[in-house]
Amino acid sequence: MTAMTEQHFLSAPWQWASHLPQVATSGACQRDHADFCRDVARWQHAPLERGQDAILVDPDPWSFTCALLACWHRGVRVILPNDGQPDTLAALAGDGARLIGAQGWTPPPDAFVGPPVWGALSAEAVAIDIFTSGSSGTPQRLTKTFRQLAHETCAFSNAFPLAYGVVVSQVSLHHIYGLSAALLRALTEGLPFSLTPCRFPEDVHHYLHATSVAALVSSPAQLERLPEALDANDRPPQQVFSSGAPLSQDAAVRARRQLGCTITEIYGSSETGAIAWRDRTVASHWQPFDDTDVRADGELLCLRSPRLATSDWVTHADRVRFIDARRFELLGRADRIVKVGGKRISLEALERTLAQQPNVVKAHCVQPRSANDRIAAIVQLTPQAVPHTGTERKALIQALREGLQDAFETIALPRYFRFVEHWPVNAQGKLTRATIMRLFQDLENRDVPRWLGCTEAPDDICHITYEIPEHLRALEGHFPGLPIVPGIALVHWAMQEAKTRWPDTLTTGALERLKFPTPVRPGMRITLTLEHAPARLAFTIRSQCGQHASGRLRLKETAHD
Amino acid sequence: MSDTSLTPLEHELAELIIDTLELEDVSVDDIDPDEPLFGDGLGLDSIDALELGLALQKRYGIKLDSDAEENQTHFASLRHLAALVEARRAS
Repeated sequence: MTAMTEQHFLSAPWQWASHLPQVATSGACQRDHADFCRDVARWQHAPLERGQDAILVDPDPWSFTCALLACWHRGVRVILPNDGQPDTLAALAGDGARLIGAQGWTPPPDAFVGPPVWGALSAEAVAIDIFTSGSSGTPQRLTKTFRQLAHETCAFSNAFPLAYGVVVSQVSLHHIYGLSAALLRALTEGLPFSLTPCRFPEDVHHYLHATSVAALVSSPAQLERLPEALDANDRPPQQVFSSGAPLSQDAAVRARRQLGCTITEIYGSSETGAIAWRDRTVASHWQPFDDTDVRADGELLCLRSPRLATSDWVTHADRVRFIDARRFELLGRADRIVKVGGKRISLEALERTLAQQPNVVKAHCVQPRSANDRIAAIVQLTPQAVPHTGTERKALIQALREGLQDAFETIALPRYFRFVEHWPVNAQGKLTRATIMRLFQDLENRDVPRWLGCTEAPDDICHITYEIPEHLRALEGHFPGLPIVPGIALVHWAMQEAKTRWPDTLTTGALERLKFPTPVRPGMRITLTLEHAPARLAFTIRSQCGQHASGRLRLKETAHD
Repeated sequence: MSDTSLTPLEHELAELIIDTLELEDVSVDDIDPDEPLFGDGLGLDSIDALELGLALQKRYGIKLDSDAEENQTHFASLRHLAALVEARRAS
């Protein structure tokens, strides 16, 4: 196979039907090159002024792709936000950019248009603005030129060649990894991409059986949760990629067995793009891509690659140990040494010791409030060890602190613990700063319960776990000696959560069938289940003690208002 | 066994400790007035001592000496602390 080059990418080979006869498929549904040209042309009618940037948010891979290419070939720079939250979009639109996609302008479905304009892509022009995931601070805005994207795409094509088949992405195309490893790779190599979003294992199962999968572009969040029933050994994908966070060896072995294919982990970041790869079942060290130079700068990784914004060496915040001139092991981030009361403490050392305690699956330590302040720990427990009452929680914290006491000074021991059943990562497999803030929000705000994560299922159902802090304001005066959470507070939380989750839903309709069979006491761990149906929103609050509240909200239909 | 019921001042101080130090799982009822606040009992540490010192100064106008040994006596238990506040407030 000839090597993929920057020139090949910049020539935009996807504009030729001979290169890309089938653009996308879901097995049952196909999109050919004529559909592609028609929809790119429709998106090119987006009402953008000369020089105006587009903000593109669209969860549908087909619309996203057509809109993105429509902009690029018209010379429009595209901003890809991390999420479609109204605040995020408003802040970006304030800079003069126009929102297109699911929440903004979309082409009229039956618009008759001519052929698309395939304007040239210039190597040094900015193609996209993206945002870091925010796992190590507030999200930073970054730009990527077409040259950088070309090399991002070539790196995958050249290191991991594919025969014909569908490129299935389980990760967002709004991030550099999904965009380059899945979408741009497919377009450049003339392979069809997955027509529908594939976040859930059911989706992967579908593609594995309905199509021939060339590559599955995934993340630890998804590979760690493959259902036991999933077995692709009779139709394995050619390649599986994982990026966004480290994949545990256990998960790598299991995923390899179930998918019948090597799992290639990609190490990189939004800033640097892809840097190196490894097969966790073979080795724990990383092998840089052929076009990437690496060396150590003190204990930090220093690199140079055509995916960087500069041709100079760049020092990364990750600490490394080289095992030979090229291969290295990652030791963790340099910024994970913090000070508490002036004393230096390694958060990673704390996490390692915590992870050795009985029933602890995983731990992450943070300073949620400010530098030099108390350490807090997010701890994933085995299901049977999860505390369901205040008493159980206290005993567990006591045991964990005792387990740490020999290795750490009292000052270094986590003061705040958040016990989770599922690691609270986003669709990219990241534990973001926003999630961390949410986990500790009750420290600052006594009106909110302690949020401990949300598990989503398809079909508009979600489960949110909370604990009732001893100092919740709603407990005041209800009742001396026997505090309980008033029903009105429970309903309020359910409605707040619904509003965040489905911002377009009017949560002001009539509440009905409210029931509060048993009271919620401080220290309890409760689960709120929200179920969104077309005309109503049902909620239930349960704990180990049974059902505490339920009810539903009849939704007003906006059209008749 | 010691009497674990709290005087009004002890109750107030227990609330002050919980609020100041943001002990998220401790309620006033959990604090045994005779148990050590630091080390094994409530598990408070040297930063807590500083913060608690500031809070006492703010609330009661009590200034603690920087003498660590003396402070250790004052902070030995809730009962000791209450005695200190009583004495200094009166003077």
